[in-house]
Amino acid sequence: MAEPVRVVSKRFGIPDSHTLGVYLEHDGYVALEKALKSMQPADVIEEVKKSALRGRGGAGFPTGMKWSFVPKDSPKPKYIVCNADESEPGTFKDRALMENDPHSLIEGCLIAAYALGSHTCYIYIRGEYGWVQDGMDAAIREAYEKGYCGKNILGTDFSCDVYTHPGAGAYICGEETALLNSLEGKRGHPRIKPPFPAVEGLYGCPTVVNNVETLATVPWIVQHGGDAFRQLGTEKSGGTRLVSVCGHVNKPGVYEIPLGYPMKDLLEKECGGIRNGNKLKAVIPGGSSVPIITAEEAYSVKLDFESIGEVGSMLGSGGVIVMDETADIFESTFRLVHFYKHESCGWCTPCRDGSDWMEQLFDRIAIGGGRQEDLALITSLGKNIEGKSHCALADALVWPITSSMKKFPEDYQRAIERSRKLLHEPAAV
Amino acid sequence: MSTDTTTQTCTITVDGVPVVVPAGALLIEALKMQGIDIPNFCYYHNLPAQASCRMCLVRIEKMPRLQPSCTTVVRDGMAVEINTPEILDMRRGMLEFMLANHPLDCPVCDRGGECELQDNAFKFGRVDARFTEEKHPAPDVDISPFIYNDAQRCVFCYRCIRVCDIWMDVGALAKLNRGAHETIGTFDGWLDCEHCGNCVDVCPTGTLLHTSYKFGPRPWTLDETETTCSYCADGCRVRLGSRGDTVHRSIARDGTGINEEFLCVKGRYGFGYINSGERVTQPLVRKNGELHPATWDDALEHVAKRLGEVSKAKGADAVAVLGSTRITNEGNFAVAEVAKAIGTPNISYEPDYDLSTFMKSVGGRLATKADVLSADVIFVIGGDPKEDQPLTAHHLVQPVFKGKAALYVASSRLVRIRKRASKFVHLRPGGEAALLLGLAGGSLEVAAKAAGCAPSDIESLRSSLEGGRKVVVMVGSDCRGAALEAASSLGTLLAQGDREVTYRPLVFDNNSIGAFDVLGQGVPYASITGSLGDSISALYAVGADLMDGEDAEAVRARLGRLDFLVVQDLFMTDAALLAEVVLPASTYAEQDGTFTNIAGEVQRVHKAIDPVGSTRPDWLIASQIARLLGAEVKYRGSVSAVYRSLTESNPAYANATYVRMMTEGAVQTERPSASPDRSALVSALTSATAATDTTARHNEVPTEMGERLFHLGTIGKYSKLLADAFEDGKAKGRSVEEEAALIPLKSV
Amino acid sequence: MSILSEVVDTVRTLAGGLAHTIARIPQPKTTISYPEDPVPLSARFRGEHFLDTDETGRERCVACFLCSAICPAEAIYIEGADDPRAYPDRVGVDARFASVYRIDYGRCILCGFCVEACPKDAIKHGHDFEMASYTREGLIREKDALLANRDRQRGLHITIRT
Repeated sequence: MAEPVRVVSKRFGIPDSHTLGVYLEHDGYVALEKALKSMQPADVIEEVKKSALRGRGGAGFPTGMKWSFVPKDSPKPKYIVCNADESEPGTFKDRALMENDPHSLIEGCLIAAYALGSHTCYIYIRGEYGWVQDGMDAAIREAYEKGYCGKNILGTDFSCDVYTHPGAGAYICGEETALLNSLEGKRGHPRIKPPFPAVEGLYGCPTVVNNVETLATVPWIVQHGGDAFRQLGTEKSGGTRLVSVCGHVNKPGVYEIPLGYPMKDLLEKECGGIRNGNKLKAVIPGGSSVPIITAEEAYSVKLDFESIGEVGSMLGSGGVIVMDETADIFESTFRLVHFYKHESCGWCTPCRDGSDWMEQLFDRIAIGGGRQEDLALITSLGKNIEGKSHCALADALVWPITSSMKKFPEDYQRAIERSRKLLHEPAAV
Repeated sequence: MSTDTTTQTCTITVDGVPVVVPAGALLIEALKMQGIDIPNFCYYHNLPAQASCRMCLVRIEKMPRLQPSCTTVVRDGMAVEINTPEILDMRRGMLEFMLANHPLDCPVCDRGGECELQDNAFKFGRVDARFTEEKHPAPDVDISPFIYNDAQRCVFCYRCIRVCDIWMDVGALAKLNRGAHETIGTFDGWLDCEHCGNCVDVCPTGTLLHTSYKFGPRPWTLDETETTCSYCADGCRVRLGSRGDTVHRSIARDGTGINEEFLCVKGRYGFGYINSGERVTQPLVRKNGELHPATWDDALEHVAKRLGEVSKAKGADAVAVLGSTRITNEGNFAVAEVAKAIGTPNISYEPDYDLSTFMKSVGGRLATKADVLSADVIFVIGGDPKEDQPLTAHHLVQPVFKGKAALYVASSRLVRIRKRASKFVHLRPGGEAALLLGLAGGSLEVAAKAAGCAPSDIESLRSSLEGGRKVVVMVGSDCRGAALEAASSLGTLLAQGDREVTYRPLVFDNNSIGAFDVLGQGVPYASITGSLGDSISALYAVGADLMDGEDAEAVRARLGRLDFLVVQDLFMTDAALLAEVVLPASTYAEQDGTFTNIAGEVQRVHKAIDPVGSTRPDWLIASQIARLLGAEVKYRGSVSAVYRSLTESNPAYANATYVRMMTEGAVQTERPSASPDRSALVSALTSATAATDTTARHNEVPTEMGERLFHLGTIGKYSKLLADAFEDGKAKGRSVEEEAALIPLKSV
Repeated sequence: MSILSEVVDTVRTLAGGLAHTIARIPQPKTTISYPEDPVPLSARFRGEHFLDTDETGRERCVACFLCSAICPAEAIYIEGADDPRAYPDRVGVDARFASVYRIDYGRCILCGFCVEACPKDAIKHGHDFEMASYTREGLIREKDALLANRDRQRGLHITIRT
């Protein structure tokens, strides 16, 4: 395989890559100038459609199609919202992107705004990423000073403002409609869909919500053409994407890979293999919300939306969590269940009460007092939660549980036996 | 299958059975019309969709997930499954989640027996409980003098929050915390609101509860009687729950009246006076300077004898009779019969609003709820329905919230309703006439100077009003004389145009319009009170609060000079203490009759309990006196016969029969049409404008919430719960320390 | 049939009957000289009710009205009330308690539905059935009497049939 093309991470590692000067030296704002001066908004959307770019936030919705849902003739103002509320456990690619290359995000926002006829972009940054927001703010200030933001950008009559907005530390605000509520100053609850944000989003106006990486990819697509991007990946999943690998590998970190890249290569070549030469046990391939896969599946699967779907999981937000043979899948799932219980917004019944119940069950099994029937109860509760909630958070709670119970039943069985012993010999804790 | 959209229906398949439903309806509502109830908690018919309880999920063909029927709009050809094992499993599962943290304290919960969670758990829930983990206990706390909150019982339907935001426009309730630790609460632990209690009535569980009904009788032991509220002129339909001879609660949960489920603080919590221990329960006759209990026969004969004596000795004109804006139409009618039997023209009542001026130019009918809800322009001048007529305020903000109507407010006070107004014109005291002159096309500068606002204000207001197709004008009591007459004929003052203008007088008392209709305005009230003790020697006062004004001492002196005073009232008022005979009357809850509300609609009052003590309804007492005075009284012991006599003598009431009220609820009275004289009105306005004190300063004190809403009238004063809460004009409650000491150890 | 066989038949049946009677004479008597002797009652006998208290002496009844709701004879009248004091000072197990609890034994049919319905095990059947009275008022038991019934009936000479 030839040297992989780097699209969004090409400026990573360059000294002072976050500054405007360095950005301009490396093709900075070239795409914006091309779009503003030589392309019609519809052409930009067409180019993005051609690229087969799919959302990098988790759901993988085709970006070009999302953009084309925005009503062109609406008299209301339109908004571009960048979802930088990267809260998924195991995912940290957007942080690396905003730290190393903030201007590519700004440029992506501006191109999207131009394409959709918007004049305001909001970048909603996770509350815990305070320093990232400072960096973004500095970059936006630079862009304003040099005329890349604000009134009459690059001497054209296109004007656009870019703002950052900090979240308050709620995972649910990564859900696009909850994010919009939070941005409006309301409680971060997911909204009822339809209407979708493209029709009625921020302040009731047409809004496009895109992930950081998605928007940061747009300048490259505009610069090099949608077809060039598409050819980097597979037929249905265009281009390259960032994956953040964490867990029991020798070199965890953020890597850019073309879609369709084998997971085995990612783990062994890029990440330097499993730590201490241990055996791989399981991989969560797309952030904590997606079903877990076994070592055999991980070694055979390719990293694109379709082939990972075949093994019953998803590419999600690109957070690859690697676990070697020392990991206890019951314990790791318990940790996730605790996370989802803590982050459930409380809006709908199955998620609010189901996650609490689920956590209490796991807790009881962990500290002693677990029963064999508890496993059946967990499965049954999972069925009652999955697919019945208001947003996908409850599904994200259930999938890791059901998949790990199916693929690693022995870990659960061991947990139950340990729990029984703990009940009878509490001193052994 | 029908695809014709002009018929406005579509066909959907429910569990394989095709049904025809209105196009564009929500699935849950469409099914309800078919008699199919989908269990739900968060859906409420006049609140925005929530889709949070997930109880109403249904399977819709071609949809990957189950869909909430409360947000799904029906489409032609839609195939819905509502009774499959999948759906029944889902409901069982959902109820199991709701009950997981729900305390098992139905035996002590006031909602037990009328709880939606209980009902649904019985119908759809699991028999066994699989939840063996720990619940999250939360103590119950009082959050207002009227409402207490048992947070653990909540199923998070958010009906209360939405009702507070949308019905009441107050926003005092909110969610606290997150996820499983979420509770419904207030911002500082104490409800800063109108205390309407609507949040309690929409609650599907026992989370928010009435303190007035705390640990009271179970709902199934109550006899519930539909009747009409006795507080303000809006005339809400209330449902009195009584057990034996005690009224335990007043609610409006079935939503049949003009108010649907809405009630205000007085309507809901002000029933305490009915069973107050301070009621006069037997006739009292003064002997040797002291009031002594007497039999009805003795008391009535004494009254008839003394009234006869005075009228014989000093002439019939020496006797005066006062009715009331509080008692039923039948009561007032019978009181008028007493005056007729004596032959005195001196009959009147204490008006709370100058209706005779208002009615001069208003013909036909007054603005009803339907007019308000369908209006595109609403103009409120000189009144504050938010404080005085809560239902009117509730109705008029609904179309404003939906963006269907624009609200314009002009007042000399900074009234609360101005917050929802598209434009608020702040007048100087007495500036209403000048504003109306400006609206009628008078000189803008002159009008603006006298009204105390900018000429552009008047101009934009005029163009807004003239742009309306369906205009409702609400005339408050700040408008007097020429301003009142002009405001009630605003339609003729504005430029000619194709528009329908209806009017509503912002009167205060529950039967103001009825008293005006029945008693008329023969002799002004002031001229009767002014000649008490002089040309008038005997007074028969029914429900009249003679000494509530600033001139109480002067009236006391005048009453002392009377030869004979008989007071018919619920309580020992200041006037009753001076009376020679006190006749104990029944409250509205103990009698049948009718009230006429703010829109001129006649509504039934139904007897909920037997008369307290040996009290009697006003109409019965008055008609007995009239008979003893020798009048030929056709009706004996039948209130419907009294009302029939009323309808025969008053053409406006001819159509409003008891039968129609039984089937239609509120029946509107039709008044003879009037044709106001525009030029006379304008000239009256011009002279009133010229007489306006242009040096008067604007009233810059904003109206506070509850400033008048929490004002206690005679009956409110004797309703202990209201009086305790509002005696200093504000709701107050237990201190934090008191509260902490009371937190019970809850059985979980 | 001859007269002889008729006589034989009569004598035989008479003798059979008498034999039975004579055979019973040495056996224990079933007649009870009530009221001098107590009536042995079954353990599940449904006699006059009593209102129970828990181990701390607090009334179990929380005035939930279920007994009066189920009562087919409408014999139970209850009024609920709030005991705003803290738990240690309360008379009942909960803040909600019955301020009035009244059973009219002129109506009560001792069917036991109330005992079945009670979610707090507050109302139970005793074994006393001697409730006759010369007045209607004498048939009405107020809460205090019902609360005292448990100990009063323990003092009665009641034998439980085993």
